[in-house]
Amino acid sequence: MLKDKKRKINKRLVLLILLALGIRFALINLNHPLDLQTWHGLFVDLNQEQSPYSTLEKLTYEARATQGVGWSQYYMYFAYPPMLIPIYYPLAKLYGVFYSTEQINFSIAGVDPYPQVPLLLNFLFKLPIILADIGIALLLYKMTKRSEKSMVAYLFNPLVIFVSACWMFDSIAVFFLLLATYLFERKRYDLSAVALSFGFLTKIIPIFALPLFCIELIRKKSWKFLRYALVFGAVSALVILPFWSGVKLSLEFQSAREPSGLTPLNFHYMFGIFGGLSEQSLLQLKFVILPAVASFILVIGMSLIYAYLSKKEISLRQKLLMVFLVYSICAKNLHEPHVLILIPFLILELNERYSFDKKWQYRLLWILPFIYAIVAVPITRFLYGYTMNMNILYLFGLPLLAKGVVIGAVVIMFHLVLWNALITLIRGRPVVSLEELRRRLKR
Amino acid sequence: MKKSKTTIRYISKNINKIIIAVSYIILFFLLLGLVPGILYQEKLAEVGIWQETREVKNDSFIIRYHMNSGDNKPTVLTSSGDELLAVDGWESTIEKNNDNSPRSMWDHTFRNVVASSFIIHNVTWDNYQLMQTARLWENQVTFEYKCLSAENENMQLTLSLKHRYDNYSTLTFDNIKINENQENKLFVRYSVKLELDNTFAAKKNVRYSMDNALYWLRLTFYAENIPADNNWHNIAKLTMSYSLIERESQE
Repeated sequence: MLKDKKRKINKRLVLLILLALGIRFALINLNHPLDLQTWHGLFVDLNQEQSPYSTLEKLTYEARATQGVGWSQYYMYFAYPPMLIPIYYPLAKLYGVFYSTEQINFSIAGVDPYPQVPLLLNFLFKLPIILADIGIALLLYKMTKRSEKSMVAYLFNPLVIFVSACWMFDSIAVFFLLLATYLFERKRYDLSAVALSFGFLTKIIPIFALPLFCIELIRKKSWKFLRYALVFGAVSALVILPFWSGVKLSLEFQSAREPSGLTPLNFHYMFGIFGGLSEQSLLQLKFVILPAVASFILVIGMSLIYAYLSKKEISLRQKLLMVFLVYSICAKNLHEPHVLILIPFLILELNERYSFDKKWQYRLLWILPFIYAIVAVPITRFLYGYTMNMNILYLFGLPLLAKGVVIGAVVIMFHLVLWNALITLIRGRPVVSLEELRRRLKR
Repeated sequence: MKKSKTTIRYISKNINKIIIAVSYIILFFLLLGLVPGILYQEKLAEVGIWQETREVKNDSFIIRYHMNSGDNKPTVLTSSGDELLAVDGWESTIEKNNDNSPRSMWDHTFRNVVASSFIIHNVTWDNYQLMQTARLWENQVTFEYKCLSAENENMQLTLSLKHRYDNYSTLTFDNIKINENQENKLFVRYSVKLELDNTFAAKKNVRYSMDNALYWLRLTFYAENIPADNNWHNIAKLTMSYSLIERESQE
């Protein structure tokens, strides 16, 4: 009887996973044009045994010549930590079997590319990302004592599907972060440090979990925090050192990047729309002053939350959620895919301490970035694999002023929700309670 | 052992204070790095090489130069070796802005163009001499480039082209139409790698020796069905940048 029930559950899980895979694979031909240029370049580079960082360097020098007096000093190519290289190397080689003569082809800096690539490239690039999604769902299933609801919430979250099937590889980094959390909770500290290092080596953001894991061990009065940091550092160094100059260039690019995405620091766009600053002043604001201010904000914000959490008696999962909420508040560049890091921890929180307010915080924290993507990219540009009709690709492209208003409103609302979620976790109740509001409306 | 336990107890007890202290140190180093960081950004902004943008319109064309030459002040010369500020027989408005800055910009606007041929610029810079000649015919502008190396060396130079495509203009490169049959007709970008051999004798001053320069490349704007109205209209916009100069030493 029990076996039958277990078999039934397993069968349902397999069906859910197959459905999630099916939806994602059906969408793989949708792409962000600029990012697909990067993935195509990565595959061609790796197939030709060339480091994508050296291509980044060449393109960057070329961009500096092309941009002339502009301050955009980097070409937007492969500016990530090096973990994607070992992950995609075998897949790029497999791709090279079928498309061996392909050459890298980049648009000139500042120009939108529309690369047309074979379906095989989309499939091979997205395969590890989609598998990471499944991995996250299974980890959530395990971490919630087999809550199918939590697994479904992640697998069928529209933002997650959109980001993983059509856009970015964030779910690989999130998978390693969640795996590190799971292993840490099971006291497998060395493995946890290795998993966290893999997460950081995929995308930088998971590194903000490292101080928290160390603080947790310090709170237990254990020297294991040193070993944890050493394992993390050794694995990271092992992968980074062969690519050191490229990683350095990537970090320079990320630090000098103008604030963009879901951050109030992108207010500089207003000067672009309404004027008020000379070109030179605007360039200084975007590429020098705001990145410098943002680094101070990030250090202050993260230090305060670590200091606060070091004395707080709550679960590690809640602490991680708070850390990444604060990161999202302070980050200089918070693009729609970056929000993926919040989603598993929000789902875990909902599973353990459900409330009407938290449910809406979760919803708004993926809906608002989704609206942002719809308007800012705009989302219709992802269709360019099927049509190059600009009327269709910019169907949701609003006039500049309207776009500015919508984006501004979304960013403000998003940050209000981030603060509300953070305060809910700190005080146990939100500043603005939707539940209270609902009750009053009912009355 | 006991000392170790006492230490970790102390760290654990004061962890929040330690975090704040560490954050002060990080902020201090951030402050220290602020000025060099800004100076580095400033420096980066000056490290470009050369850019020129030209817009060909139905009754005029504009050439815009951006040149970042680091510490070397560039010279722009005519074929006779004079600094180029005006072109014979052409009305030209030129803004020259390289008095105090190594970064230089020139805007040339040529109006009332008639069929003719002239040298647009003849640049000596960083041991290379680059001459650009334009020929204007009805509905057609041809640019020819010649390049000389001042030293007895092989040279690779990458030329990047960005071409803003219009329905009625065709860009030909070495007499091959390059924007035909392209699915994406908005922008075309080409990188051309040129390798010059070392048949030139080493010359101390290459300014006046362009006569023997190799033909380098030819770019032709060919515009059909130019609108007959008097409004200025972009026929083509081309941005060229010279970069990635790789010298190969003579073994």
